[in-house]
Amino acid sequence: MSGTRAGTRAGLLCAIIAAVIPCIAADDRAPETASREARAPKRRLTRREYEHTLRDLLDLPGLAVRDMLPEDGRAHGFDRAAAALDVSPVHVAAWHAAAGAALLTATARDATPPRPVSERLLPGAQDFFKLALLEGDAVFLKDGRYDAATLPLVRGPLPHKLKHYEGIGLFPYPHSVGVFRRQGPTDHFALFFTSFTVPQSGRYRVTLSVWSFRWNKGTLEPLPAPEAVTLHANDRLLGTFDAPPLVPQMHTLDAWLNAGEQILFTAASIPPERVYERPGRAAEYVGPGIAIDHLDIEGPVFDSWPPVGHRLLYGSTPRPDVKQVLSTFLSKAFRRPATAAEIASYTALVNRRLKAGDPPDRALRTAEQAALCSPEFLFLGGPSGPLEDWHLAARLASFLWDSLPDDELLALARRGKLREPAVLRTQVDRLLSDPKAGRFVDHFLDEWLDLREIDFTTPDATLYPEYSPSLRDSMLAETQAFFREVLARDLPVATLVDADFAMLNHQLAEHYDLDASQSIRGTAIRRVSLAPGSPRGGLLGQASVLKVTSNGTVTSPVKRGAWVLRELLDDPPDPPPPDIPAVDADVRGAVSIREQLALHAADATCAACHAAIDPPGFALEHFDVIGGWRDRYRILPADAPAGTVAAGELIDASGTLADGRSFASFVEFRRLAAADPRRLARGLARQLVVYATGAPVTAADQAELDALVDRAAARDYGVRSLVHEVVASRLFREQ
Amino acid sequence: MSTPASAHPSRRSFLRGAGVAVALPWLEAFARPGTARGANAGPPRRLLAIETTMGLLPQYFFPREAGRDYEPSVYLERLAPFRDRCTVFSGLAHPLVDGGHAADICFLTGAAHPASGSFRNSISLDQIAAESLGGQTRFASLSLTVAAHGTASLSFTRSGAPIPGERSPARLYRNLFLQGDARETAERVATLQAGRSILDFVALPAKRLDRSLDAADRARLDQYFTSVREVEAQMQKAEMWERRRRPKPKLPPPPEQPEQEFFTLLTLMGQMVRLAFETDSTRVVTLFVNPAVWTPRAPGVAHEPHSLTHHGNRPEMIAELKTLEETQFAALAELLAALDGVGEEGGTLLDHTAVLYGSCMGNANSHSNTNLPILLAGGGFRHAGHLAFDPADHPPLANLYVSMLQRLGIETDHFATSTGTLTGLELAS
Repeated sequence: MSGTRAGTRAGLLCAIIAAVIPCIAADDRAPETASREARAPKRRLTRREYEHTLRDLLDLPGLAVRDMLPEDGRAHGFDRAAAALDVSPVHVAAWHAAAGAALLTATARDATPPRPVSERLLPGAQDFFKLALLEGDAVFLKDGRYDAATLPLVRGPLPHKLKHYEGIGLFPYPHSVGVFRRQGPTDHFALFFTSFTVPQSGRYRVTLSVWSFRWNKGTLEPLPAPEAVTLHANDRLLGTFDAPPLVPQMHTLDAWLNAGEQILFTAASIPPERVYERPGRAAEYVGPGIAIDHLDIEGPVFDSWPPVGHRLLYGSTPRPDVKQVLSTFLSKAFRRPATAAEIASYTALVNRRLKAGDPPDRALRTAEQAALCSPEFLFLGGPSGPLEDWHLAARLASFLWDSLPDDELLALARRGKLREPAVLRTQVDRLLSDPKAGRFVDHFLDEWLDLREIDFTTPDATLYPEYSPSLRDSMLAETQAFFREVLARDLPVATLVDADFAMLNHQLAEHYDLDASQSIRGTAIRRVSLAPGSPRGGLLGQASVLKVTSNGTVTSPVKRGAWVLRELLDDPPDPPPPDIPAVDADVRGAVSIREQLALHAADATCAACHAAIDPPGFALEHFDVIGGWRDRYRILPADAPAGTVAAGELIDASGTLADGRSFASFVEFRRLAAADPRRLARGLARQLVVYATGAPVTAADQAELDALVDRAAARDYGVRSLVHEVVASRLFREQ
Repeated sequence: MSTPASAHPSRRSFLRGAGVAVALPWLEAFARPGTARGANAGPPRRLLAIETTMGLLPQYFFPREAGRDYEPSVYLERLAPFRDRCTVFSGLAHPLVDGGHAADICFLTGAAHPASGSFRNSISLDQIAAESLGGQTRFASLSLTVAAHGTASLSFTRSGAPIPGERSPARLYRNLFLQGDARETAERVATLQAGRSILDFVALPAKRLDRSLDAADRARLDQYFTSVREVEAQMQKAEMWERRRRPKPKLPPPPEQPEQEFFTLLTLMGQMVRLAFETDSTRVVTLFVNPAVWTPRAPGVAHEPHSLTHHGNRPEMIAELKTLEETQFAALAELLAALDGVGEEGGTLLDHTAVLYGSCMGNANSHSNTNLPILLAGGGFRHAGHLAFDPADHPPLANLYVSMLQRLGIETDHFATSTGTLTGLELAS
């Protein structure tokens, strides 16, 4: 303990010296300081962070350049680990292209703002809706019932092609359209509003009127609960909206749309049923449907013209001072004031491009594109030792916003204030309360809990017919909302494992078979109190986590157990020995998983690790591959006709942990796991440090990690307190 | 209505990443000219490497007997016309390459332990080949992808970074063959020149940065500056090629918005491979084939392939998977026939192309990465029928890659974990 204090004091001393003599931090450092290896090497931006950074820098909230960049590697469980963030010619070429595209997007072409448009888009005027209507995948609705006067119910293939029906005036259909089939952005056939292409990037107001119904061979009946629809701009999700039974609901959304994008409507909560493949089509179909009345678009609306991003690139005046423009731009992009030498060299580049014949705006843009391809923009991190204020601001913004510092952070850095503990603490709270902190929650959970792998397996449709893409969306939303709740309220870290509440919508409440499911209506996630002993409180009872730790057909106690030890209990197991194949999955019910894994206990070399790995996995056996509760396995018996699902063996969720403590059920296991909050806190703090600094917690860092965890003890290891303590720790404040 | 949108105006008439005038980067590896032996003597030598990520049912792929007189397995029956121009391998694997699905990115690299926390990939076979062969063609290499989403490919740079795969046959066709008018050419040249001035500029501060850096940071920035200079050279080469007319292909352009269906795209990509070789636009192509997520249109296939590979030993699932995999072999046979149908200098394209086909997964049901299904077709080898190795004691798969590199005229005796060339497979004279 005293060692740690001394270390902190030495670190503080360094910080004070660096603050008093700022130049020490730069070029004139003593050679022995310079040669000391930093804990965390410099790292480049991840593709996700790169996109967020350009969005904020250029004030283009919907900019989509992520797909132009190659996928990032991963080390120590995170894509932000410096060790995995190599640079290749592929990256350089992609950065060059992406920066060029982003700068063009931010460039206003006209002296006056584009005239806003205001359009009502009718579904029955859209080509994809028309095709769905003619196939019986969608139906004509007028005044809340089927519009048989327009077209009799579709029972089979129609004799003509679309052109014919357009010719006879069937389209554009001026009323509503009811849709039977979920078709999302990754589907081949999807309901785009093709009559409207976003003319100009900017903020638009989108208004949507939708409702739901149960289709019964031509009759509309109420469904028990609202259905959900989503809107995308190309493949960017704009929002999820309720469609209540039989009564239209208007939804309004203010969204950034990029030029060239089209709006996609998805009947998100209903199955991807292909009614056109069923005999009798719509005339014989019984199932849920979602009606859309119209979609209105107004915009773009600009707070100022030219827009903020344009003024950053080209200045606010007709004949701007190039040096001044570059000074402002570079200082934002480099996350610190640009040096005189830098401004001079970028100005020289502008002049060279002018000489080569570029028009002034293009010459300026070329220099700015160069800045976005430079290491000063692309790399984070300073020299070893305590971070100077600029680097501290950059690391903080990268940690909590996945982006660059805003003006307030830069101003504090300029005044040398940011390293003051009280200021730093206030800033952490400010950053966490900004909507941009959602990027931290999503990105951190994707990496820590492996939520990015949610689509890695598709559950077997015979065994798990209740699985749907919509349920998948809700699963992710639950875990993200849960972590946000825990973070916002500074709830004890043990809550992550054992909570008396859950963040649910109707679909999840049904999936979890909660008694309260009738009172939880709609797609919106809200906090729900759980009955004592409910297995759903905490990450281990959440479907997202249970799905990413399964494969599509069966659960593996080994995979889940190793995941629990690694991600939650701060006790990562050794990797499996080479050439030991996984268990040969068998869903015929002939061999039980316990029997297969019994071999682990029989072999001494296996037993050493599996005595620790398997028990947490056994505890989770009551949860199937999509997080549903099961008392027996679902099996497809070998001697029954294909497609027959039967109940298999009873689940045995008991076990004995490596430390000798036994549990009879999942809830008992959960209690044991929650009983050691310090261990959970240390695990979470370790993950946060890797995410925030891009470097693993080594043996040399262990004492500091323990110390920061101890400092959160008084707050029951609150999750927000842990974030604060991580930021306050030497691990964060030193390179 | 099985194909509503195919007969229909595009729902994605936009170009993702608008404003990118030059599509060079992920199509090109940096060529170091002059290392290929006899580059100008005889017909060009080519490489085509294909991986199907979900493995193959071993019982329908591997023949029972070793040697030339093997009884063809169900899948190899599909390749009967090429029996004497193929070698099928059993028992091979990349040592230390494990981790189930994670291994698919190691098929052409052989890098160890892809599922481990600190995994780093290494350069892929095709990029080694492209370094030698790529200088002579417009595109040093092409990395192609047939997958429901993502841009995963088989190709990795020297630093192990993934090279994004091209997924659109139409975009590929445009890049290969669409000349555009003089103004468009001039605009592309201007963009490349501006790009070079940018990269030239950012390469300059190298010296300034070096002073305060520790070793790890210096290595990382070295990587950056080396990459910048490589891209600059690529742009220079691209600019030279911009000034030459693009070749005229013998097939019309593929549909701009082809049906997003597994076999449709697999067939279209096969046609693009043929055209790219036929016009000598490149000599090195990789094709990453991931059937997961799609339910491919094949008679008798009702399930998504990834679920099928987790067949849990259910006979009806295995039967479906078999149908699916047989259809993949039919597509391979079609591609081999197409290459064999184009004549050049005393033979056909197939005679001068080494076609590697296989998977990094041996048995998908248990996610094993041993006893990989591997097949080599094409000219230049004394094909040996079925070369059976002992799965418990086999040479590294990389030995086969060394044999292939030598066939391409590249003077090397080593690749990844290799211990030499592959015993039993001789080069034809």
